[in-house]
Amino acid sequence: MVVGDIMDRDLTSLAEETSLLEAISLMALHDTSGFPVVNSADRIVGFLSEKDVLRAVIPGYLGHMDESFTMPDVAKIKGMVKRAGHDLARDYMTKNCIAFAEDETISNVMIQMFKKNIRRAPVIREGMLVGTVDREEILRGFVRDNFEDGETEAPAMSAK
Amino acid sequence: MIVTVTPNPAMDESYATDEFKPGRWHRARSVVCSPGGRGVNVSIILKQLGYDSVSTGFLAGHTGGYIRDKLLSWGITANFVNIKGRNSTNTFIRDASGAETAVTEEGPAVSSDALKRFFWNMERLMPRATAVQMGGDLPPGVPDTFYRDVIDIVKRKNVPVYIDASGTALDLAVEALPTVVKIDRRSGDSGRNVTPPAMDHLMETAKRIFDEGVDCIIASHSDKSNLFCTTKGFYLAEIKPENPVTYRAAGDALMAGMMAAREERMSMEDTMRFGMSCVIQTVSCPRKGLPSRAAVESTLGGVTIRKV
Repeated sequence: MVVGDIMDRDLTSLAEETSLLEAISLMALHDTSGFPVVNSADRIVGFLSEKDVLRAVIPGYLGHMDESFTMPDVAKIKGMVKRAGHDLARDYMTKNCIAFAEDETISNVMIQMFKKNIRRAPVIREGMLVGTVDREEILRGFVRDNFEDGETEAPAMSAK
Repeated sequence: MIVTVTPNPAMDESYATDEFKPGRWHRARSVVCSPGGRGVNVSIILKQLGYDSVSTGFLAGHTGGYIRDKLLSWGITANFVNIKGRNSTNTFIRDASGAETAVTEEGPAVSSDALKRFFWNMERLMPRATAVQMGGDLPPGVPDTFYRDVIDIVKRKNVPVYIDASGTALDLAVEALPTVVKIDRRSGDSGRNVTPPAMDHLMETAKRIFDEGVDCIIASHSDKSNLFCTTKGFYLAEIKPENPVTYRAAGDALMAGMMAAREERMSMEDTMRFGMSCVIQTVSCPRKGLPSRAAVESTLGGVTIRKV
């Protein structure tokens, strides 16, 4: 099995000029943890994850939460989100992000995602985004057949 | 890759009942649920013909999630703008006599930010687009200029664009000179008891659009026949499906078939024949779309085409 077989064929992406506030609202609307960032020629230039957004809006806070009993101050965080919300995706995205070719084997993709602690990554064909893959999807991919309801299936898809 | 645009996608629920009478409760004999909307249907049928496409438009709520998940599970690429609310559920009830009753919804309201995001997506998709198809009614918040504005983006990149719409949205779209126009007669007025529009009137309408600079115009004459106005003149293409189930996605099958034929550089007559054969297969198929490409090829001979 290759990653192209199980990837999420959704091309939703951010522009470099997308504001962090818009990125947050898109993450909520699309129920996802991150988006590829593309330039005007539709080439991937980075990936903006919820972690990148958190780092941008509450710098230093994440470290505190890891190592102490600090209780997050929600009102303070809201103010920080408001302040950093107008900053742009390009300033906080992970540049040189990892992207998988669609014919990469699942086992290879799994190893790299766990090793580098990546939750979601773009899948590309000749530099163009063709989908994304996340760790959850990989697991679901292994058991997908068990969840097909059959009842709502369209007729078999034929090869040309 | 072909790009399809469905501004108002829906979840189609089709119920078969022994009888259907207003004011009564009925038990369904069968229920078929599928993603719907003009462009979404075209994407499904294209996939069945062996062509990949990107399906775009606006999705909202659990019905939107259903549409997206189904398309993705069938290997169709999605690039929808997610918005607040819920996509329509369109309910179709068909009784044993073949009469079909439909209840449709308006669709979720689209904000100006969501529209802006949609147009940004379209610009972005153009480098990979080989053709664009769009159609259906517009949800609240989407202006009548929507299709015209999409055509402007697509035509700037010299990509052919197919539209299946009606009313003011279509009139405005024609100004931007799409490549193929199908004049959409809603399922509500294409029932079996409706007299087909006079051929003279159809030809006059098609000629008017043709004179504006559109390459090909398709106007439904009846469920089983379409008038084509092309650079080579007027043609009437007719079919006689043996056991039709529903004509609901007939126009989408025609569009998908014609687009596949164009990708394969078929002649105009073969394009019409292939498209109409897709209609034969789709109207006879109990599930969304057609059974297979092989089935379409087996009924090419069932299409009669004559110059009018």
